[in-house]
Amino acid sequence: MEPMIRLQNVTKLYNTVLGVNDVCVELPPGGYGLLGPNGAGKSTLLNLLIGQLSPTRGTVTVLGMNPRNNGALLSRIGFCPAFEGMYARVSGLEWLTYLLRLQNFPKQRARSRASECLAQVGMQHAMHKQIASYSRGMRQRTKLAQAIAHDPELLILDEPLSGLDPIGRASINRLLQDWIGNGRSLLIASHVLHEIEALTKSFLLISGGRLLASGTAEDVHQMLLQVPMELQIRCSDPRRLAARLLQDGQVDLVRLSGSSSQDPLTVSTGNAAEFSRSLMKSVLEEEISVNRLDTADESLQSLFNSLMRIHRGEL
Amino acid sequence: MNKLIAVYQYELRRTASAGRIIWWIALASFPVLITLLLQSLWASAELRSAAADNSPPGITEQSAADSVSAADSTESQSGPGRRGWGGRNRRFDPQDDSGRRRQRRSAPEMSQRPTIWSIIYFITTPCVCCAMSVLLTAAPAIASELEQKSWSYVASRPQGILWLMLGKFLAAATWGITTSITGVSIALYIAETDMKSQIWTTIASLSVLSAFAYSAIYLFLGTLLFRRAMVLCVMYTAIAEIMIGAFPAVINRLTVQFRLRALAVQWAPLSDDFRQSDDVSWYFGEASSSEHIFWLGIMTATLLTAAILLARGREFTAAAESDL
Repeated sequence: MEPMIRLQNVTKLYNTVLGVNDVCVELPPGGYGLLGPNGAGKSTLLNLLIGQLSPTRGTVTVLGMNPRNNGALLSRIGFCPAFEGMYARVSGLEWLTYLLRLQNFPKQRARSRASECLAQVGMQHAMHKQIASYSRGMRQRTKLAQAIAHDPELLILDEPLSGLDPIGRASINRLLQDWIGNGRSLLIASHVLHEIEALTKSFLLISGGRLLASGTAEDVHQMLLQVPMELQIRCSDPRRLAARLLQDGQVDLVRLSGSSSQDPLTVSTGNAAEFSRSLMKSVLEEEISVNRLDTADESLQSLFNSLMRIHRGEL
Repeated sequence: MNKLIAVYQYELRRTASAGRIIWWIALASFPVLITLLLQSLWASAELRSAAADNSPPGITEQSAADSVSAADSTESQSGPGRRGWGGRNRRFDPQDDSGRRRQRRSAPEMSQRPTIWSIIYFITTPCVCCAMSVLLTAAPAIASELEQKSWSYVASRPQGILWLMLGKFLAAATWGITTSITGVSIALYIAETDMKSQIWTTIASLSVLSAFAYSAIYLFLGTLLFRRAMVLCVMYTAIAEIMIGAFPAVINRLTVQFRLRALAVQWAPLSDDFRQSDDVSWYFGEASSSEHIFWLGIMTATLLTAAILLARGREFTAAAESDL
């Protein structure tokens, strides 16, 4: 199957500042999350994909085509930027109709389709009002409507859920889940992990312009089995447990926050599976009661944190 | 064409803000106000002249002095200089005091007025109203899209930048044309002169040419240096169009002003003395109207194409800076 997106050694420099650095990735059609902190290079990467930027080095291919100034490709992509940038003095319906006419929709068809899409994102009650009167959430919905209105094959969304209330977030999530469920492709950028987790299990992690990891959550979990992981344990006797764990040799580092038994014990391990067996054995033999074990290994957040720390050379 | 119409209609609608409409009214009023001012000065001069002719000798000197003052201000605003409106063949003669006093005391004769109004409307309408109106619309065309971060939405449409630039070009030209034609139509309605229709046709035609040419120039400059577009456009107008355009050298042929002035001399109902004077012939050469229109068309098309190519080639993305 032809990859939906192919980036080959893509580097983007803004004069001497690095936007993205030597990114190589091939993504087949499907739904993907692009995760990274603010300033990681997410928007640069998305702008490279829609052809608004051209790479300083490397090649970008989307749906088999070079996206730079490519009209044929742009009619197959829906893009929703992170910033608002809508004309304030026109209504949502007028704005969407205008953008659809730029997709070569005849005037009447553009208007009816714009109305349909605004209703789809829950804006039917406000589509005739000026955009200036819209709340942040309403603007986000309108932006999303313009991205899906021309029925593209690939939807590229930059922080589409920011500013939405929980109800709005849930309804947009449902819409995007249906989008992926209907076999269409989606690339959604965010710096909030749980936004992405609800939509897809496939993601790309980016930081400092570098692609840290890509694939499914399971792929990255496999990587993390070889990666040191930190856990925090609250137990009845942290000193004795720390000594026992060090004796067993399954921890790389132990750290006691204080002398009290209420203070947590922090341990770092390079082999999570072996450590969990060793921990169970130790608490049973030493008769230590564990009150709380804090680990983020069920969340994407732990993967993200660990990869970021590896990248920064902290692990 | 559907895309071009969409952008054009949308741009007209978007740019029709209260501030922009006030500017439109102010610019369209410019030739009207000049007309009212000159008409009142001439009427006043005629009244004083008539009063002086019918008054005893003692009063005449004072009236004549007043008339001289009024006529001075009239000449200095309407601009033919010391040669008078009859052209270079009418020389100033310090010995001919009676002629001078007669000329200064009265308003221009009806036969001279088409020349006077043609020159005044040429300066006020295609050169000031139209160019200013276009400047306000075309120069910030790119900057306004980038400032409000709406560029991405259009640029991510098929050939979106091409249609956006063409639509903005047409919208800017429309603002310029409507301002000029409204202004000159009202002004000519008020003006007391013969050959109104010929003056109107000349000024309207020159306004259309001026609007398209200046739209292309300002759009190009606005794309070239979008952060300082207005400053660059004003500098260009002052240095290239006004200063270089007035140089009697080959370089002035690269300016829009030269072509418009040459066409004005050929089309406007100017006096034969003025039109056939050696200075005018030498300055504008022997080129025909169609040749001047051709070069204006080439300039417009070249600069518009350059602006579009520049906009497509440059990476105008608001995200590029905020992302870093």
